[in-house]
Amino acid sequence: MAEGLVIGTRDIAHKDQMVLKALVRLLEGGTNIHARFSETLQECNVVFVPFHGAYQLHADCIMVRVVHGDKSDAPVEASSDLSVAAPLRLTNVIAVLQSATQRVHGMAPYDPVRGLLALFTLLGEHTRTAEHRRAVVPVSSGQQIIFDFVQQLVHTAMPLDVVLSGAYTLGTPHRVSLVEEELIRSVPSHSLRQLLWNLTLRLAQAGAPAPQRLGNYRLLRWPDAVGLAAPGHPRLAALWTHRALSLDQIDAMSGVPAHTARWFLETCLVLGLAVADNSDPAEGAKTNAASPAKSGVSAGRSNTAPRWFGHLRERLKLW
Amino acid sequence: MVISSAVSAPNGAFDNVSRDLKVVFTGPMGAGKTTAIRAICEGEALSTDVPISAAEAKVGGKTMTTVGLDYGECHIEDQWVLKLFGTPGQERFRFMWDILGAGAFGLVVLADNSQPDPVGEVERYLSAFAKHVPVRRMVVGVGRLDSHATPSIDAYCDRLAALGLHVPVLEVDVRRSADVRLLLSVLVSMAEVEYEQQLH
Repeated sequence: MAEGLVIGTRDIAHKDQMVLKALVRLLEGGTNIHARFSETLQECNVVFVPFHGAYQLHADCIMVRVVHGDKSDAPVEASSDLSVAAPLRLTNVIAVLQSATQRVHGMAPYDPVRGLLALFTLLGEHTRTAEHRRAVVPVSSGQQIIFDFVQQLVHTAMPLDVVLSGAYTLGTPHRVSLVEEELIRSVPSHSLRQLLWNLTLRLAQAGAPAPQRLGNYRLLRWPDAVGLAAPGHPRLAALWTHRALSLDQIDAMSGVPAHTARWFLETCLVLGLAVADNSDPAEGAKTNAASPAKSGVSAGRSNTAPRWFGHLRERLKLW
Repeated sequence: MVISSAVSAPNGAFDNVSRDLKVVFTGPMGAGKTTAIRAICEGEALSTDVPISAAEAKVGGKTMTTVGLDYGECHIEDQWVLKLFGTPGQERFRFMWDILGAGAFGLVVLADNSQPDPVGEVERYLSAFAKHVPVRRMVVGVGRLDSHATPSIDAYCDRLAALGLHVPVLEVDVRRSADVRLLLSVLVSMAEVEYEQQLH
C-alpha cells in the first residue's frame, strides 16, 4: 500500500464528491497531508461511501461513511468504518483523514527507534550543512513539524512527547508555503537544540545504533546547558574538551554507558562542537595503555578519582 | 570562620589536600551570587547584605547588596565540607577577591546579560581570579538571557576563546537549584578529569 492516502468515492452525492476532491487538492498543496484523489477504486485505500449500504472493497481499504443530518448520532454500518458528517468541511475531512492515516500505518506498526533515528538524521543533515532556511516535514499522523534553522525553533501542534516517541514516519521536507506561514503563528514553538538533545537522550536510552566512529575526537567548545543536563554528559564533555579521545578510550575511562557516549558525540558533531582529531596517535596510545580496564558505570570513576568526588556528587545530587 | 583552607594549591595540582573544598562565586552586582549560594547550601547562608545605595539602585530592582561576603556550606561524608563563598560585586570591594580567591578549588563566574558589556565583565573576573584558580576549574553562568538575548552564549564563547579562556559558558537561572547544581556538576567533572590526568 502507498505511504499516503489514495482517496476515492462510491455512490455519494455528486456535490459531496466535488467538495471532497477540492478539499483533498487543497490539503495536498497546503498542508501536505499526503493524500490524492483517484477515480480508480482498486488503487484507493480510503473510500467515501454513503451512510447506508453494504460495500465490498478490497481488504486493506478503509471505508468512510458520509453521514447526513439527523443520522450523525447513528452507529456506522460496520464498526470498523470511519464516519464524517456532511456537509463536508475542511476541519472534519482533515480529522477523518488523520484517523485514516493512523489506520493505514497501524497495519504496519511503527518502529519508534526508526522514527527517532529518522528525525535525528534529518535534523543533523540540516544543522550540519548550516542550511539557513525553514523546512516543513509532514508526519504520518497527518500533522507536520516546521523546522526553522535560522531562528533555531521548531513549530508544531504535536506535543513534544509525541515528537519524541518516534511513533511515526516522516515525509520529505519541503519549503514553507503560505498556508504553513499562517500555521507557524498558531502552533507552539520549541527550541531546536532542546529537541535535538532530548532526542539524543531517547536514542541513548533506547540503545539505538549510532554510526561507527573510528579515530579520536575532541570538543572545540562545551555544549550549552541543555546538552549538559543529562547524567554523564558533563563528564563526557570534560574528557573530550581536555584532549582528543576515541570512543573506546571514552568507554574505558568515563564510566558512562556506551550508548550515552556515542549519541553525545553524534550530537556534538551535528552541532559543530566536536571534530575528528588524530593529530597525535602516540598520545592516544599512551592514554589507552594508562586507561583502566573496561568496566561498569561507577567503576570507571572509582578506580581513578578520589572518593570525595563521588561523595560530593551524591551529596549535592550532581550528575 | 576559616577562609583559606582548600583542596589545592593556587593554580596547582591536587596537593596539600585538606578536607575543605572552597568554591568561589563571583560576578557583578545583581548577577545572583547570593541567590546561587542559598539555592545549594544547607541551612542558613551567611550574608553581609546592606541596603543598596541610590546610585546602585538601577540593578534589577535589587534592594540589598553584599558588601563583605556570602558564605554557605554543605557537609559531605568523611568530614569533607564544601564551602561556598560569594564575593561582593562592586569594584571598591575588589580587595576581597584576593582574600576569597586564595586557595580556591573552583570558580563560578555569574554574568547578568541585562548589563552593559557582560562579556567584558566576565573577562575581568576570570582574569582577576586566574592567579588563584586554574582556567580548567572555572565555569561561567549567564543569567537573564531570556529577556536579553544578546550577547549570545556563542558570543561569550568566541570572545573568551580568543583570549585563550576555553571555559564552559552556560545559560542559567540561579533561582533554580538545578541550574546551580549544573554549574557545580560541570566544575566537579572538570576537576575529576584533571585529577585523573595527573594520576596518569
